[in-house]
Amino acid sequence: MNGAVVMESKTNKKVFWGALASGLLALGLLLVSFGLSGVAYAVPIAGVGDFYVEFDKLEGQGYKFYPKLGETSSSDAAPQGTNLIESLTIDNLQLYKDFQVGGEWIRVKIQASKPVQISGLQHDAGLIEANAKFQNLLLEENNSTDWTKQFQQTSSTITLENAKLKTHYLFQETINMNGMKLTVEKIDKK
Amino acid sequence: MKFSWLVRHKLFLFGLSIQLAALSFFPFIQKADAATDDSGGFIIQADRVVGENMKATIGAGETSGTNAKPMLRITYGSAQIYGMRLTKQFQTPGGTVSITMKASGPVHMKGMQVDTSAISFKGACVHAAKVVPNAALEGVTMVAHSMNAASSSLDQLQLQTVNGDGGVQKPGTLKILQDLGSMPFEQMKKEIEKITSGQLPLTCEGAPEEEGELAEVTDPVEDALEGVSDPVDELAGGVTDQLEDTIGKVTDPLEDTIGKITDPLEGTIGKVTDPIQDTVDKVTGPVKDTVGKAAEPVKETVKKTADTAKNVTEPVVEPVTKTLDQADKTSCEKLAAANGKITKELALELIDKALEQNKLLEELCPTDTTLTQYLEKWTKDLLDSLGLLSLAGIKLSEEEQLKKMREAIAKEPDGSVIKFE
Repeated sequence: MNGAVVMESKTNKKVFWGALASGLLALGLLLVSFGLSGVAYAVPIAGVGDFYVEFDKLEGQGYKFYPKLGETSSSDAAPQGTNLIESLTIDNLQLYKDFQVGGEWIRVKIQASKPVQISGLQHDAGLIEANAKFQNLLLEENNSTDWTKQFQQTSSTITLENAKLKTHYLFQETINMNGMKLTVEKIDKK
Repeated sequence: MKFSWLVRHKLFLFGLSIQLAALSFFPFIQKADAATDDSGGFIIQADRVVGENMKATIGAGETSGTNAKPMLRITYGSAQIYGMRLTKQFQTPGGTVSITMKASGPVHMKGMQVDTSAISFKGACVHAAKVVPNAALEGVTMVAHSMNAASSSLDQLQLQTVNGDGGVQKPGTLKILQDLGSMPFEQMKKEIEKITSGQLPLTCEGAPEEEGELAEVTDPVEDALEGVSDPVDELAGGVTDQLEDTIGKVTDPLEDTIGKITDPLEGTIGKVTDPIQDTVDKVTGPVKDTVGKAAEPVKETVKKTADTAKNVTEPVVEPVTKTLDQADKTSCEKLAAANGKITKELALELIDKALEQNKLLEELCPTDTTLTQYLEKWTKDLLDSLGLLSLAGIKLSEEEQLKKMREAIAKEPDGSVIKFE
């Protein structure tokens, strides 16, 4: 008993409040800058499992597609296709994901009322449904031991209309998303 | 001590080293297996392909398993594809994975080019390097290794990446491409040139005799042109055999019938002529009657049997004539398509045909006066260049002329156009 030393820790209130304030300030600045310019840099959307991307029209330059195995909300290694587009413009973009909360289905949706400009897009999808147009389309095989490099599809331009994409991962080097709106709504899902 | 142990067990060590050496071969064995099993390719299926300015050639291209594989290259100026499905299968560490691309709406392609190693479809025979202005193929399945299009539009496209093989089966590799693939590279190149310059048939759906023709053409030892005329001979031979058999069968019962009818006739005549000798005046009437009555059924039966023989013979003769006509037509078509440039292969084909049918070269395309005139001039020029015209008063027979021409042309390099200085 005599040798027992009771250690008591104390939060330095000055340091805590200072750190919190600076963090909030940085976040506020980020949100303000995003709100003003509508441009975000290196934006990944991942870790939420499958989600859907829908739009009326996509016009892009420098398209490349190849297969891969990637993580989804239900599997560690599900077959997917990676779509790379150097620069693109999307009209009427909507991204949504449905969650089951209790017995209800909730849809969290991000939509942009104005055209969205993206550069350096990487989009991993399990399913793409669209009316597609390509310029200089090329589907080719390559002699490789790596199966993901054995097949690729490229085109100088890509146009997708009335598209629905089941997406697992989305990354943009830069995205200019004016008129963005986030909504959470209850949906009827059977 | 150790060294002596090694010496004592040298046999054991020798055996061990042999095993090690054998083990080192395993990677090669695996590689060889991979090269034969993995033909690669993505499978394109279509309910119907309608296109303009279609052309098929043979070349060598890269696949996921090899750098140079003989392939059929099909190009279209423009094409509409209905019910298109594209499947690419991959062998991954986790099992088979497939990319499936399906267009429910029509697909429009401009400036399309597809390299394929296996193809099956319903439609016309495709000849090497021959442009088809309007081509329609149905039920197309092909193993493609490359596909490109200057512009393309795919309505209701569905691009999916799934586990499994996508539920499609690859069509068999074309015989012509299999044969080319088994050749050394240089020989393959020569054969490809030969096939292209001769505009030889590449795919002929539902025509086994023409597939046989294709097999002959690709035989590396045989001259490509011999293959073209062989099936005609075979077919004609086959049909003629049947013709002879049928005629034989028809004439046999004819003889039998005549025999059977004439036998009682002889008896009747014999019986009737006996009383003639005795009582000529009285029996003359009944003799005439009996002979007349007996002869009538003979005439009728002979007439009927001859008609039947004629009916049976006619349909058999027709295909023979048609087949021979078609064979001639193909040569003439090739000649017309050659546009004044008669290659070595085409020249040999024409000469062989002329020798076979015992005709002059200018008599091979009697329906086309332009071709006839051209062939006449070409023959004259060739004979002139060979010094075989009857300038010195010695004229060779037509058959000898053709043989001399064949010898001279056979010396020319493969695929070369026969020109006169």
